[in-house]
Amino acid sequence: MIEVRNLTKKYRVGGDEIVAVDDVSLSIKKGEFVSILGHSGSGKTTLLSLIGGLTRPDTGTIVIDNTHIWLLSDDELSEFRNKKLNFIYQFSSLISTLNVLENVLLPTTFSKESDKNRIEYAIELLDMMGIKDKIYSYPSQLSGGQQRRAAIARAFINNPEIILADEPTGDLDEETETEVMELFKKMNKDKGITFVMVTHSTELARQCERVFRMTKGKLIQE
Amino acid sequence: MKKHLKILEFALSSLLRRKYKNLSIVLVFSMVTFVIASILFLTHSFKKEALSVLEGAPQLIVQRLIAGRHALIPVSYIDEIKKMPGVGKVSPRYWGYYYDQLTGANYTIIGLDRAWSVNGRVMEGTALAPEDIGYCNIGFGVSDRRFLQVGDDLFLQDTKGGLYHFKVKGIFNMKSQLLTNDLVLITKKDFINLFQFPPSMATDLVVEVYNPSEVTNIAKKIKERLPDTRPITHDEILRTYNSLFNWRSGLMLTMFAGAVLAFVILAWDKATGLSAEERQEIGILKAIGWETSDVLALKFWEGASLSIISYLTGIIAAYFHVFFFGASIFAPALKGWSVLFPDFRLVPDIDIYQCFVLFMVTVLPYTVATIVPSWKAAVTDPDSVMRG
Ligand SMILES: Nc1ncnc2c1ncn2[C@@H]1O[C@H](COP(=O)(O)OP(=O)(O)OP(=O)(O)O)[C@@H](O)[C@H]1O
Ligand SMILES: [Mg+2]
Repeated sequence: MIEVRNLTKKYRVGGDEIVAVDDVSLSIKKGEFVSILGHSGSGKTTLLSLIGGLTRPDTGTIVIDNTHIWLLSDDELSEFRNKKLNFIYQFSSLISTLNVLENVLLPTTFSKESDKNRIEYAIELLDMMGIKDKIYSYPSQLSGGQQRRAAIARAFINNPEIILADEPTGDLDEETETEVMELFKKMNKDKGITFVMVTHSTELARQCERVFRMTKGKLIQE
Repeated sequence: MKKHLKILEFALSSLLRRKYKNLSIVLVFSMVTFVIASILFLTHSFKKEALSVLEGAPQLIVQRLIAGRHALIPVSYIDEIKKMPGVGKVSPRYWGYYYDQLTGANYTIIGLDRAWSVNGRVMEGTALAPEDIGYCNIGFGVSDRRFLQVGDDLFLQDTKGGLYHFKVKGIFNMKSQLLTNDLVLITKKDFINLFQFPPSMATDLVVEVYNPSEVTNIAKKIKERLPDTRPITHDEILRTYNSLFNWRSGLMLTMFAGAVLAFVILAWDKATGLSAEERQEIGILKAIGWETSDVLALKFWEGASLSIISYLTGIIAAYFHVFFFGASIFAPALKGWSVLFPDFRLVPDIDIYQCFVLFMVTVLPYTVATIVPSWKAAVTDPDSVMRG
């Protein structure tokens, strides 16, 4: 359960003030699959970043499963992120000095799970993403779409309850896009993972249970 | 604990992944430590050696000069000097140099008199007594060159080609190496025979003065009464050492400064620059649940292991350089020293305190320089990762 109340985030650039997220409220039930549409610069990434506890809001509250995330200490918040949620970033976010497998395993560095289990699961996920043959490649040796798929595999490795996906299919071809979307839906149905997905594609958005639209920092449900 | 091990493992492997960059840092860092440590080791052992030489050096030595050159001094001068007020014992010394054709080395040969002895302890065998005719004590260098053990015979030639042999009674230990390395100690009788010394002559005289503050004064008086002598005071020897030290240290200081500068540049680069890539890496780590302290631990291990490896490499290399290769890289700068210290190996002796200080001025600042910028990145919101 994600409860967002009156969330506002402003950026100051030079003398100008940009209201990236403007008094946004929304609630997302556990296991829901929602999508957010909107023009470039409308504040979608900022909203995800706020919900995931990466950016501190100016005003407003975010409650995830009864936890006021911005009342947590920095360390508690880190732990919370590690346990509850994971991101798929809009831009390449792989660590360039780690190979694909290591990148995918990264969120489980401190987990109690045995190495064998972690690696097996990582390979299983990479197989689902269709890049099993690239596990020892480095990000610079991958195409944009392959990097994206590795990042998606990484998002699932720690069995998050919530996935915050920022244009996850941005640089994928149509066919792969469909595959990834099917995987998301499967994960959503089988494991009950909550999805909040930012997308430019109305086609993808239509497949979701609820669709929101962001315009100049304001959020409205369609 | 287990978590820390994971972070350490992660740190080490991430260092390995940036092999070439980190290798070059280790290289520069090791070089810096190497130069500084070499200088520290060298000056430290020189000072120690010099001190041990001076410790044994008498207050006042009287030599005789003929045509400006050191000549043998008549033993009869002893009574002349003894007459002066404030003078205690006056004893003759018998010593000279011997060129060994066999090994091409120069030995210092001392004729042992009851009145005077060398303060080098014997390592093997026993010390020579003044009545041990036909026996000798030798320095480590001599035994090394001539492959001599206690009980073996040392053969020496006199000026006419006559062969003398002395049974080795003892070999001086390494500690006072500078003093005893090239030394051959025989009895006064044997010495006079070997060099065919005129019986009433000695190499120089050692004068004991009751009141140390009177030494210069007495030296002056000796010079007045015996104009063909040159009295040398302990202070004069000290001054010679000091001037040599100061001149040479100036040169070394220049190298030292260069090394420090290189290090500062290295650390400065770390302290100021956090590449976009490093910043993003910290963002990702934080986003996936690393705590700020984990990120700092990671950076700590990265900085610490890199600098400790470099530090140890530098220190160990310097140790070998100074004590096993005679500081050969500094040889040009050290030429002057060979006036006082002919070819010999410095006795390995390092000052732990110096090593500690060196650690504190290299490893510590470097590690801090690695952590601080990362700390700044780690405490700010990690949202930069959202925007690549
Ligand atoms: N760190 C920042 N500093 C200043 N302004 C920022 C910062 N991050 C975002 N903004 C501004 O906030 C607004 C919203 O940005 P955001 O990235 O959320 O848009 P978006 O909807 O994700 O756009 P896109 O579809 O292009 O990814 C933009 O005008 C942007 O310039
Ligand atoms: Mg965006």
